[in-house]
Amino acid sequence: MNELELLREWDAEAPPLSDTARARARFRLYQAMRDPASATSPVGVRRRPLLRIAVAGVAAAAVTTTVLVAQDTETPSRTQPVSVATVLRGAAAEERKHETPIAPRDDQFLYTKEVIKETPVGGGPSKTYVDESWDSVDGSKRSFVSELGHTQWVPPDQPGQSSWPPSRWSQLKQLPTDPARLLVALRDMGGDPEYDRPTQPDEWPMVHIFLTGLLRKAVLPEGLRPAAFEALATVPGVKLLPGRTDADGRPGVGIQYVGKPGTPWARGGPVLVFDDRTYQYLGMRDRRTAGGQTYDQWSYVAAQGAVDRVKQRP
Amino acid sequence: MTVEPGVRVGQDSDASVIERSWAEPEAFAVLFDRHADAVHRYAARRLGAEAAEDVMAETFTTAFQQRFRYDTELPDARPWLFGIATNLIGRHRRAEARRLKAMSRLPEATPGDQAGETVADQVAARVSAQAVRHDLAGALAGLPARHRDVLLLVAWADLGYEETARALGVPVGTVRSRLHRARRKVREALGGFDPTALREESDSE
Repeated sequence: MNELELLREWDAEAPPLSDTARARARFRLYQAMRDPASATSPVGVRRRPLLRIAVAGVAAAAVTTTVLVAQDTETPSRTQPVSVATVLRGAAAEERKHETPIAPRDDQFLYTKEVIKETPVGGGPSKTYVDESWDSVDGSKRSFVSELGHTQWVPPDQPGQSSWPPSRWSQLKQLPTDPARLLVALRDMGGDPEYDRPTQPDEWPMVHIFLTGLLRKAVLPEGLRPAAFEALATVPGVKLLPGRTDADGRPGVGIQYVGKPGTPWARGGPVLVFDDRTYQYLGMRDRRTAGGQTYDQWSYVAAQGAVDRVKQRP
Repeated sequence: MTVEPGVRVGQDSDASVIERSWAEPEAFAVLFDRHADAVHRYAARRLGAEAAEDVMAETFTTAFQQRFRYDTELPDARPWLFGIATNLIGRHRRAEARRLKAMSRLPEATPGDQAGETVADQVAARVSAQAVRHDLAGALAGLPARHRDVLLLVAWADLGYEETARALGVPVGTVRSRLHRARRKVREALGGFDPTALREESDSE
């Protein structure tokens, strides 16, 4: 018997796993599953799924695609190279120019009106949903949420409960509006951000999830959405898709995340569409499957604001 | 010994379970049911029962949180899970060393501790087996942590060289050389190839 076999034979006084210890460990796993920060979508409340995105391993800044950019209506379109970074930085600049900062009180609600147009893949009539939701600013009151026309009351946050993107305005306000710091804050969420530490390749998928989860929110504190766009521009694995349009046929340019094989985003995540001249954010193209049917979705935010009561509109 | 779950492939593979858990978090419990015992046994042999429960539980919650990072081209998740467990065990390095040193010194059982140990040859067998264990514990205590990790992933987690390399995130050549050195040290501690040789002292320091 050699030393390796002797080692294998030796149980080192290890007792077997007891049923109670197994139950305790299993319970801890279930708690982790219920922690929405670690889930793809908040458990309990069925909200529309968060963006799912991942890396392809190519630096965004290096991805340059040639697209047609119309300079004005008088001259013919001319070809010029546009990069992911150009589009997202342009979108950030547009956002800074146009955003109207709001300062909701804790006892108020954030109103959002989102329009979602769904078309069955393979043909069939489109359907348009108008989802109006009222979210409690500090999470202390019931919220009223509409998802593809299904409305429901969402109970107040339980103690210790958290979700991503944060449901409470105060949590959103704590996020840095500097793109580089925002990226690290999201990467190191749950601990102390290490601003000097470079991001490891396997950390990018989570950064992606958190960033686009944030962009999914209709209302954000001033400066946060531009910062998120700029942070996204520095994330590897972002692709530029020229020639995309919004639901009205307005020409746009798409930004999509495609993961490497073996990740949930290998076939590509949703596409953020930006105006191809101003780079203003227009909306999102996504796909969902339900009851064996796949739908192409186009969604955009039509209205938003802070109000005092549920069912009140700004 | 550990009940080996065997490597499942296709729809039933660990990779498929993990992929399912991306959309349905609860599916991850299947992975727990498959591997909790093996991970616990590995941790318990290294750290004892109390810390092992914690390490095992944390291995699965950590794995769950990192499930998006799992490369689903790899059907068997054991190297991944044992890698996480080994990392967590690394936080208990001092406790592990203390435990091994204690086992290398103390007699394992006092007379009357266990029933049915009265027959002389059984006692003799146990004495030599105990001596071997003391030497093993002493040898393990004296190994550099990264060598011990390799040796015990092979011996106690039952991973192959490639799997150990994946678990630790090191090249397979590194696994081979670390294993070679660790085995040589253990062999020396056992007094060459004679495992029944009694030694006065362990060279645990």
